[in-house]
Amino acid sequence: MRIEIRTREGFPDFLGLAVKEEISLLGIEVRNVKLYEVYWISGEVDEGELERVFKDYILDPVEKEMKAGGFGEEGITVTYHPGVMDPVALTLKDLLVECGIRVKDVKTGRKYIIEGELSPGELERIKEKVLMNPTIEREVKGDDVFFIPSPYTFKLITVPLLNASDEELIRISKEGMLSLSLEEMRKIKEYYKSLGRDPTDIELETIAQTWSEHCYHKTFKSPIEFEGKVIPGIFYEYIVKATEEVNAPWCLLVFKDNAGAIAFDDEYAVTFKVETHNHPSALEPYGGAGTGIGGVIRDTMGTGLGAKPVANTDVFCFAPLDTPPEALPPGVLHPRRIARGVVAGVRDYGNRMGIPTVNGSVSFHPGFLGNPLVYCGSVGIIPRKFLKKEVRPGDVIVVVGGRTGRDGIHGATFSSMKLDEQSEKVSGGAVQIGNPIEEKKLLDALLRARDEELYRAITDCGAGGFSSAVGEMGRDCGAEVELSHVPLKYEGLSYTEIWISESQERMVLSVPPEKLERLLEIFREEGVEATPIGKFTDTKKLVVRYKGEKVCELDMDFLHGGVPLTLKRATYRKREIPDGDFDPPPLKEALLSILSSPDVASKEWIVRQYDHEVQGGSVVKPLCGNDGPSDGAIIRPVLSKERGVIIAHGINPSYGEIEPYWMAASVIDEALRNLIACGGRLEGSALLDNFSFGDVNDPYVLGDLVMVCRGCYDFAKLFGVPFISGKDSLHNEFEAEGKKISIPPTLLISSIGILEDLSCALTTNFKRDGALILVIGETRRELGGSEYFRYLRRKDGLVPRVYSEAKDIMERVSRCTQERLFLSLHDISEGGLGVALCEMGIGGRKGFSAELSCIPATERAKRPDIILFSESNTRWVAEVDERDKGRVDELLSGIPHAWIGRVGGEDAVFLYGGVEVLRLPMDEVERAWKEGIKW
Amino acid sequence: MVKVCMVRGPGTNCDMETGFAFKLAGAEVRDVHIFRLRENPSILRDYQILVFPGGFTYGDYLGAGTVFSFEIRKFLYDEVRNFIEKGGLVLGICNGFQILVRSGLIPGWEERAITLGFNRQGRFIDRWVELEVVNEETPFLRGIETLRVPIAHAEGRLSVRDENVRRRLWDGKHVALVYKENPNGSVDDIAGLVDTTGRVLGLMPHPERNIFFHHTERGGEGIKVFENAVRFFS
Repeated sequence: MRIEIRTREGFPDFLGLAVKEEISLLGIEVRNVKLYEVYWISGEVDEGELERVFKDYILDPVEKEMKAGGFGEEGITVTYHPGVMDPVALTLKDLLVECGIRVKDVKTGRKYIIEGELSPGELERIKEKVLMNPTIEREVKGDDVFFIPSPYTFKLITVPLLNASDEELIRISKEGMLSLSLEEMRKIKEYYKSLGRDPTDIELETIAQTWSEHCYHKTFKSPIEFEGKVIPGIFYEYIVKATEEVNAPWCLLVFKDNAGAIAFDDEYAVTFKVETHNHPSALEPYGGAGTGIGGVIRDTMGTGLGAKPVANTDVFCFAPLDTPPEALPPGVLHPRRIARGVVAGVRDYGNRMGIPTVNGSVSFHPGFLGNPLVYCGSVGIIPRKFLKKEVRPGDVIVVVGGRTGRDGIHGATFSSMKLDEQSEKVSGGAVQIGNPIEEKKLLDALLRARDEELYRAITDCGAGGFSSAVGEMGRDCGAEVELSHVPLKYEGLSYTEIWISESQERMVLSVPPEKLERLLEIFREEGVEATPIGKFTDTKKLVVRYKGEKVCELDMDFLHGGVPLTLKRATYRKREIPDGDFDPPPLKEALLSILSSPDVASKEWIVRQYDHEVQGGSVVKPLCGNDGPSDGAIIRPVLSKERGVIIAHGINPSYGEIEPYWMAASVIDEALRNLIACGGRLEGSALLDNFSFGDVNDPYVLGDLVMVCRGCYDFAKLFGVPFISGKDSLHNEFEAEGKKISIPPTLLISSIGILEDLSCALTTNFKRDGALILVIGETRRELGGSEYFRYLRRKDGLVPRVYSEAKDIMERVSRCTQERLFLSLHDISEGGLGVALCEMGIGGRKGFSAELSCIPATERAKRPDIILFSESNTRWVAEVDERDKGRVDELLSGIPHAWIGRVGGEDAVFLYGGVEVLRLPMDEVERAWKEGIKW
Repeated sequence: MVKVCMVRGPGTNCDMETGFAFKLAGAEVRDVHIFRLRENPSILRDYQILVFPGGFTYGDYLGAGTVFSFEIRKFLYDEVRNFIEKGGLVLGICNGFQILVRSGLIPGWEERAITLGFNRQGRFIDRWVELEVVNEETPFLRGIETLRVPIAHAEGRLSVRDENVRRRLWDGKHVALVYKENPNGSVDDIAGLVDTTGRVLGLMPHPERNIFFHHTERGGEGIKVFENAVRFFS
């Protein structure tokens, strides 16, 4: 039974119009696009009855009309592949059942009616580029849409390993998509030799998941030979060590559990985790980004006994949006499509969960063509007494949330692989669509159960599914699971599929037996499934059964301690060269062009699609004043407490391409100076590190990674701010037609801090005509990787350094903000001082006049263009009331700073030695910045 | 103490701050799951104010507020009508407004002739807006002339079946709030409506998101809506 719903004549079809707009981005003009909703319902259904329910309860009675059987027009009908999460169908099915309709299954689709003359080639392009993504969707003709799963008959599978040669070991790993190296396969063979038997398929899968780069972070833990010495492991040697040596008393959770945590006040802790979801987003941007944000939110929910998510962040790296379609290698989606899909994915998941998305950025670089980077962050708040978790033998293993299907099988191993043109086909199963409402219900139930202290430990079911979640929780004691108890989406799953499925919106709890009943009751009340599937034991073994038959028995010690770490070799290739002499270009064109360049220009198109006010605690929002940019976000996570959390970040792949070590220094500086610009302080703050690199089997790429980690160590130490959590995404390399595209070394540093007094919060927009403009920090000839050199198409130049006085400067600026001496404050970063001043003017709807010659600068930087566009670190522009000038001078004595002009007027005016070198009407400045990007 | 029944369901997500605003205004707030209300609709009789907070109930799959309004119409309609007849106040914010419109409680006519459709941009929008109060008779809006509040929705464009319906909204004093600058294509810039009694208010913008000094330049204005509701019973 098919039902179609469409917009009635005389009313606008805005969703159809949006599709028309996307088609026009392909350079194809069509007259009109109409979008119909399609529903298929199977079962013993009475047509009249069904139609009545639709008309009474579902159909919009004003703008929409429906027809059972369909309107009969020719169109392109698209539906999800069998087994792909279809939340609308699930919702409709429940509603129909409540109405007493004996429905068996529901499927949804969209029908596009495109009016206009199109060649068959154009139509194919529209289908492929706009209407559907073959990774998750297909076109259907007719009504044959239902998927009838074949039942599963149990048969234990063992893998002949004991007598396998090296070649066979490699083949077994490759064919099973296990991503295990020969050394690892040999180690496994040795283990089974000691047991005197072959492994079962599920055991091998469990080892592969646990040992995957994604779960075990082998590159960060392995010894690396570099510059004639062996580094025992860059994670411990640089990242952990920095945190240990900083030894910050405000750190409450570092590098364990699902997120890091710092003190919010005596009662609460703030948690923060940032994840990447790059590979899935490359193939299916909407689902990839949505499940990325969904996954990191579950990390928050799985930290301690469960933190409440209070903010999301999103940082993206894409190839330029104006990349010509013919430049795309096969199997690669156009960056514009990726950008639109990713933004929609984050939007639909975050907004539906009711979590404000408050901070982010977008960087563009051709190296991201095959591997876009999608970072999703989640901030949570949790009473400090709930930070501890423990698993005790005898506790019941309970799975809560969504059902298990075939989704995302091999996600963990997939994300540790290189992408190629075949990835779209072979890895389709690893890409999923999320169901945020399932996760929201789960959150509601979980927080109730937490507050009643009904469970002792929790973790999310992410990469590796149950195999990772249960394996990890039970690592110190042991666990036993009966897989036939797991609620399934549909029949037909083998025991191994159930075990490693990565279906979204599931978590695992460790529940004391005496509390089980009450826990199940709460979940029932909230309409969330909760099912006991086993128990934790004291055997130090992971035992898995299916209908009573033992299918897996692994020693926890081997599973978690057996990974062979091999020595890797790294080499650093220096490529930075100082810039030679050059004549400055006309400043007007340069400034306008930089203001409208994609990394600098306004991201309002994205920001507006996210709910950044939900939960009612916004203090500093992503846009300020007349929609100027913010340096970071401030939220008030506990409404009854007048205290804020500041969230900011730094990222700069262009620096990474030239000088990875100084990129690390620069982005740490940027992340912290953004915090300071919002009114924050170094004390009480923390950092998160997210490394995205190309193929680290290449010694040069690994060399870059080592240098970045060194930078992390040196500058976390310099600023006295610890790392509390992080993640790596390696192997971001795309291979097509024999050509490799690797991403530039990219480090995202996210920063988090506490604002004790919300009245000290600062925004970037100019507030008052006549106020003084102050520049803090020294300007140097540091133009490598800058927007200015990108504009001039120069590849040379030194990337900005961070100097030893940086910490002192930051602390003095904080003193000023704590005394509320600034009306506005903005950090100087991409595009330099010229851009920073213009942004403050745009946000405040005010002009300004600035004298550049008095700005503290090194000799080689004393030139109007260099002062305007250098991206030297540790600098800000502040707006100060004249009466506070004396006090500011006092607090900044000995720190390079200069009073350069005043706020006011209609124009942006720049002088050098009293001579006007550039004047631009603010209208023009605003237009360049706001309309720079064609999304 | 004035008692507020705050109904939430799967996907409600503005309950915490809406409850907070009512508490700040001096009310006692109970968080009631729609499943509990369905089991026992008569519990509504213990309350003076009924509020439907914002969110994406049931994901807004099948249309914003569709499934939640189905539950009201099928299981709770008489009890809610009774609650209104007896003098109770009902507030629906954002998704709550969508629920009130879809269930017919706003405008409270026999026929269903208005709807909230997709924004003219075809996507979700978050921005601050200035509202003008055009019906000061509703208890929620007394003494308020303008309000600065954020909107955050994908389906907030008020649409009417025809010209007669549009006129009927104005003539019947259903129009309570209008946007000074239309953000979504809403007919006659309408941002909020009341029912025939004036005691049921639904609006797309979020007054609960402007209750502190730091929310915006004129921070704190939104609390008046909640204070008015509480004052109505004291």
